[in-house]
Amino acid sequence: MAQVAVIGVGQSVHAPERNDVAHAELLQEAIDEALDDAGIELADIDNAVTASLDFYDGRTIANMAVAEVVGSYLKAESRVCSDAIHALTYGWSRIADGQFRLGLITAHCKESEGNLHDIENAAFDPFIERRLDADDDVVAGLYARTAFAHGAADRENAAALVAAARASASRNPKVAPLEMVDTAAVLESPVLATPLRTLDRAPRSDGSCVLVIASADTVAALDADPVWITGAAISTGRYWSDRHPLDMATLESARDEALAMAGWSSNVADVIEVSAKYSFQLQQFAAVLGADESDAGGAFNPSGGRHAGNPTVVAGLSRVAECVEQIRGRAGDRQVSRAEKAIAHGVTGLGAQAHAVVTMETAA
Amino acid sequence: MGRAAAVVAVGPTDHASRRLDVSIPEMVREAVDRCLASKDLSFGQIDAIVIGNMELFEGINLPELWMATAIGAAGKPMYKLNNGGTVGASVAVAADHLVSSGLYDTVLGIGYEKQSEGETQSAITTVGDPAWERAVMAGAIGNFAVMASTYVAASGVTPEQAAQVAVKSRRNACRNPHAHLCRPDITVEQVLASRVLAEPVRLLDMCPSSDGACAIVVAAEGRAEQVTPRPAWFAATATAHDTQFMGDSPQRLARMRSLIAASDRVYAKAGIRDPRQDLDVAEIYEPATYAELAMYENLRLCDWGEGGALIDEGVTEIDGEIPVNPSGGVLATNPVGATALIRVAEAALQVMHEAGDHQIADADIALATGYGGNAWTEALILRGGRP
Amino acid sequence: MTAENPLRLEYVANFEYAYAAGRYASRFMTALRDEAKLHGTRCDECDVVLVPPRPVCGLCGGATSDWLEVGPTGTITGYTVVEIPFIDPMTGRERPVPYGFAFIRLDGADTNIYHFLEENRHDHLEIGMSVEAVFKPPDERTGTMADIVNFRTLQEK
Repeated sequence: MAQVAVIGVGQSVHAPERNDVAHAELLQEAIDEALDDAGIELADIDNAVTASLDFYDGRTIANMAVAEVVGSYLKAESRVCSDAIHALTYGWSRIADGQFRLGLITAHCKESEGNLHDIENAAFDPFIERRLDADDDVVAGLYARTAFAHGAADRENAAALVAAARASASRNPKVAPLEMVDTAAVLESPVLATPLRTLDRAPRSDGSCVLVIASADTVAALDADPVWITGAAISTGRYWSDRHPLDMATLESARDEALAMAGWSSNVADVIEVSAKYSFQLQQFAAVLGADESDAGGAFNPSGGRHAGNPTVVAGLSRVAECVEQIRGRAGDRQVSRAEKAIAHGVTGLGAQAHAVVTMETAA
Repeated sequence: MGRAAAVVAVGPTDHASRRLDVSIPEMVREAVDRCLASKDLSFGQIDAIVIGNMELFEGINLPELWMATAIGAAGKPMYKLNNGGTVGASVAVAADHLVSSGLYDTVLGIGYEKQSEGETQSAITTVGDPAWERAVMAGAIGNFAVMASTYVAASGVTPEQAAQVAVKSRRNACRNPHAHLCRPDITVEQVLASRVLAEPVRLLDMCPSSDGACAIVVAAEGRAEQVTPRPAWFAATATAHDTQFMGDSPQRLARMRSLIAASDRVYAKAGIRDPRQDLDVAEIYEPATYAELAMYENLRLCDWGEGGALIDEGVTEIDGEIPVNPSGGVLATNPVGATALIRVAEAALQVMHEAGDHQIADADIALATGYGGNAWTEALILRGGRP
Repeated sequence: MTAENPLRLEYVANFEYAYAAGRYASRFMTALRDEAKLHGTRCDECDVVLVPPRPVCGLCGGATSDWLEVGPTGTITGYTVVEIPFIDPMTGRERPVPYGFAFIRLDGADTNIYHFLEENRHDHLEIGMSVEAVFKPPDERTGTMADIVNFRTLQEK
């Protein structure tokens, strides 16, 4: 497989409400940091793949707003409307086939600007389900009930992961401080959709994340500090009401393809960053991806994961950014010892319908 | 460099102002089924799907996930793109990268729009920046008319010359069984007598609003030749954007910066020195008659200011030196999320020698373009025969 | 299979947003509201003056740290008279036709903005005409582009 590396990462501070900046300004914070990290200028970029969702940005063709900050004047930008690991996978192919050499992968989202209930409701089947006025929380409640009943997730342990995520958030300078909670506080927080509580859902967040990716030749020419993307796979499951809550086949398929592409015979990752909007999903996905819950805040989600506060679209790319920083040994108070291989995961849709898995390592 | 990739199968739907007979997933599946059936392919042979659509037009968030089961895509990677009018061509470009990189061997590309099912005109107003543009918009037609005025001033093109483009399109559409607007007897006088929407643009100068979808299959070398004897190889692709705001480009249609840049790039890569001579056919994304004439100039099919003369001389007619939009083009069929993919599909059919009644004899090299967003361009050169 | 009487299911959605204007639009709109003044930003690298102001020059990628006043006079660089009704996204209602609509290059700027014209007779307009912004009275300005009612031509064709 062709060699493609991440040579720069940047993130805005993710916070419940970044009303100090418009979308493009929010994204620019991450772009400036990523370019600095890579030691390049915006004009050096030859392509970009952006990730955003029109319903959240509140405008059609929302990537128009970021044209200048991603440097796409007379250049090749394309835009993927899913979790940004989808965009990274597409961006990987644009460099792997030799047509481009140095690109930006960008993600931005402000969950604070629209009505999240209405936006989530718009993803339901318009003929039968939409009038029921449901949202992601309703699907999560239905799925969680089954997961808890069948032992695929555990009510108390799921709550403990939320508490661990918030503790990790305090070591992550890219997320706004969150109130520290213990397991009991999660279980006693207001009901979201039974059996889930408000704190089981990742907090609302505004933020951006950007990677600079490069071909092997470019890595050498820039004398960059590369983390190589050795596997990238995405998989789309059936629509939420066509799927059993315990069916992890979609995630398993993405995992297997990514590991096969990386040539890993089994999961040998030193760091696993899992993306999940709800606590019980974090348990389910961690099990599939080979993360040990007892390592939460260590080798499993050292960043705190989405429960430390990353928005839709951006969350998966924030997982990748954390893996890159871990492998480069630049994760500060969160640093995992001997981090040489990592897995990052992203998720999109009602009841986690689409999954994306990326493997990264120090040497290609 | 990566592997060669080619379009090996094409599937259009039927088009109409309102496809009341099908739901959105059924309409998409109509394109996919026709595409696969045309080359005896099955869904199991597809490794990944790239799909383009503007979700606010129909008001459905994450529409590709909603229809995943219904169209048979569950279990496969799906990439959903949204780049405005260019998106169909963005789908084809993505399919090329995903195949030529070695990630997948066979990719299904889909574009669709069911414009009758949402308030497309009001959704499209949200294209305006909420701070800067939304309070002072005049819709796609008002916006376009201002752009056309810059081109009229720069080139001296006349309403009669624009009307000839409208006539060419709707007559060509009658040779294309999947086109939306076929008017075999349309005349220049009728176009000039049609209602003024916004000076200088009249009703028959504008593209229609259509319900429809299009699907293509892109396959890697080795696989492609097994599917069809004469694949349509991607010889070159290029994407170029303009800056953020509609008023940024100083001369808009008269000098389309992104179209000039993207076409320069694909011509150079495909070894095209004189596009008028070297191209056998072009399927371009012309949202209105004036835009097609301006695009002749920006694509260097003629000198600056000669767009009107080109249509006067019949150069771009279906039997002309460089036929432009023998399918009828956007002026005949316009389901926005599919429109640019239809350009690619039609260019592919031409070099595959499968374009039926609108086939250009012995076509080997075809240009396709997509246009949208704020004056963005995708340009592709497809070539028949060997990669 | 084709349904003999296909149904349509009506659905009306109302999506509400509160957009953060951000640093650049906030500064511009505040000056428009409070002083009836218009501003652009100048690129540090290539000197182009951009209206609307923005943090990055799209043409060269340079930063744009310099703010300067532009307009309120300018030039028509493209125009039309709209005769087809269109639903105004700000009101949800059709805007009365006909009305003039144009590209305006504000004096001191290198880019155009779209805005309405006071003049709505097509044969009274041409590219190159001088125009001037007509502002709403101070107590009616709220800090949006609609604080400019339209542009008035300063010369006869």
